[in-house]
Amino acid sequence: MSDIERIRQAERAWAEANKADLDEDARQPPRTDFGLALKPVYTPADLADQKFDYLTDLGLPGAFPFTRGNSARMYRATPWRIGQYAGFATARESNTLFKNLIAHGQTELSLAFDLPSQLGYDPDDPRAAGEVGRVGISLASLRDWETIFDGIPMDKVYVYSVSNAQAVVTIAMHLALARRQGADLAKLRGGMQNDVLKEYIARGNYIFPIEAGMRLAADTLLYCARHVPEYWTINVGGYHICEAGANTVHEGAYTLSIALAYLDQVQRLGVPVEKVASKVSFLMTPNHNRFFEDIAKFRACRRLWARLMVERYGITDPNCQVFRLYAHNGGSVLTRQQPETNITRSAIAAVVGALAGAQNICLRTMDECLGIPSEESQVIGIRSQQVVAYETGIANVVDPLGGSYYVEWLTTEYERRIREEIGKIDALGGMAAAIAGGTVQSVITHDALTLQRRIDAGEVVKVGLNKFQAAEDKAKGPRRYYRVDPTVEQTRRAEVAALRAERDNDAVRRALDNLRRTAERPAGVEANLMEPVMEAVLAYATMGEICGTLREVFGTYDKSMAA
Amino acid sequence: MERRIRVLIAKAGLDGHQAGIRLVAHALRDAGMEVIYLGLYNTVEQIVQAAIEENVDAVGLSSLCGAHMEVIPKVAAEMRANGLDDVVLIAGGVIPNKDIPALSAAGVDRVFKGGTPLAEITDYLTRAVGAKRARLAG
Repeated sequence: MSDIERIRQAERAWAEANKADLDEDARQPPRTDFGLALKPVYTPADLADQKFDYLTDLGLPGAFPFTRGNSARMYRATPWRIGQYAGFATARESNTLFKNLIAHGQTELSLAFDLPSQLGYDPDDPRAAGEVGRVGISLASLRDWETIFDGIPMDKVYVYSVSNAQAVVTIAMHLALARRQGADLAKLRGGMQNDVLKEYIARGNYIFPIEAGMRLAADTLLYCARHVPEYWTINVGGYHICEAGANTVHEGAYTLSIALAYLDQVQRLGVPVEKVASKVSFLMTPNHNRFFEDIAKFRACRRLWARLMVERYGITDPNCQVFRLYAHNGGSVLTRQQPETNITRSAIAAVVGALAGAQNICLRTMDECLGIPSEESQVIGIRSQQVVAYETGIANVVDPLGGSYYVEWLTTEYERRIREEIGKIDALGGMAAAIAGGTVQSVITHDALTLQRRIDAGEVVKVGLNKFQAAEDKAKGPRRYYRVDPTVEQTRRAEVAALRAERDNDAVRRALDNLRRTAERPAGVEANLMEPVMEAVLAYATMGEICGTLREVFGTYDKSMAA
Repeated sequence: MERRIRVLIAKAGLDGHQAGIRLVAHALRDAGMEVIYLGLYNTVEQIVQAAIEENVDAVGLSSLCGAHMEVIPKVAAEMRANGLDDVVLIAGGVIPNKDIPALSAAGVDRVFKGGTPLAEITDYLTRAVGAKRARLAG
């Protein structure tokens, strides 16, 4: 009798001996967020049922299929980067904040911009009224970028920015200033979110039609591959898909499908995918309330991505096979009730990210349900990550959960289900087509509704919200949270007006004309928009002027199709 | 037969967070109401114009990016200026307690904060619209 057969026999005997107990358990078993019923215990027999093979399915860290991690030593070499997402209203205020966060041990800056900046409107645009500096830095021109990084060497600190629809402008600012600071672009590390597809289905900050968005994605990928090879040019936002309500299988599938869409776009331009594959990375959710699910989800994504690179593009370069992960826990799993409890939730999320082998981690802060994070709460986020990285010992051994029957079984389940969902997107003609048809939006809405009904029914527990509630007067939480200075909007309008008066407006006009002419040409490697945008940025053209020029050529996205 | 409750749901300004408001729209539909969802990036004028054209009983606004004190009172004022006094106005999202009295004074009938069960919103609208209709009939 084989070992597996003996285990199966033992399981049957165990089930018989505990029949009454297990029958009761089977009536309402715990389920994953995508509805899969979980057994009370997993054994090698479950892995045998999945035809699990150690060398094929796991292997060793730093080698195909990378299930156990992207590098041989992982955190024994250096811990993940600590990248708290931050930014106050003005470039000056944010410069001070960033210097303080670096002093506290933050190893990656993750820049948050206000909504006008993210949607390509200047602070003095009527559409920006009431929104200037509300949720992040008001970014209008290279001058603001200079202020943000005054005294911060961009080649010493890893800088990541959350720009999407207008990322082409932010990348140009980033590279222009890094070059001026004397950084060697061939070695410059950093990244940009620059994932426009998820804006249409989840995050909601889109400007141009999908086709133009895809052109900008390919242009930025190709330009950065040539000039800044170490730069994470696109960071696909599965995080936002998950926060919009998608379950973890859909989060994984749509994230990978979006990344494939960008690579396919580059391939359509006649460029081999190897040139850009390592520039596409992933932003996904490690949540405390799906502890093992999310660890398995990430391990599955890592394995599946490596396999897809081989199957779809024949990629053999390991650097182009690895799934680079920015793990960022969700704001939606926090509670407004007793916000200090959120510190615990986020600390556990850091453990999830660490056990899953993330390259960088951002924790939501306790006060995010009240306003944008205060500096004090950001420091708690940094400290929480430092405790996990330096005190717990999690960093001592690579992929410590590898080999757990449950985690391996769940990892394989995730891989199979995510692959199946990617197949459905392929059948619709890929992610851009699936979004244009509205399918993805419907699935996410259905998932979101299912989750909310489970929360309302108390099936999904949120401590302090639907269980263990405190009386309202005891549930107040932190008294000090960040408030925007009400005079910011006026100050910013004056600053942009001053810039327009001082700069060489002929140079701005020439640069914008050149940008328009390039945008009017068909998409292709010969009409890359990065070069003319760079020229405009260097002439101190504003975010609103550059995006306005592109709006005139490309038009805007028809919002009736949006999520 | 009494006509179904018609609700206009919208996001004003540049805030792109719509997971919550879309859930509310679904819950209202499931509760038998007719829902018109205007989507993202609406101006105050667009919202009030739609409320008039769609002849709605209630308007629901969502704000999660801190512009609620800029946008919501303007919608309330514009509704009054257009004679929509009998239309129930509700708001939801990330709205600090300290701003609620000012929103009420501006004409918002009820503010729902994050974590509110969907049934609480549908129940409230059913009652509030019913009460307004009874007043108008009386």
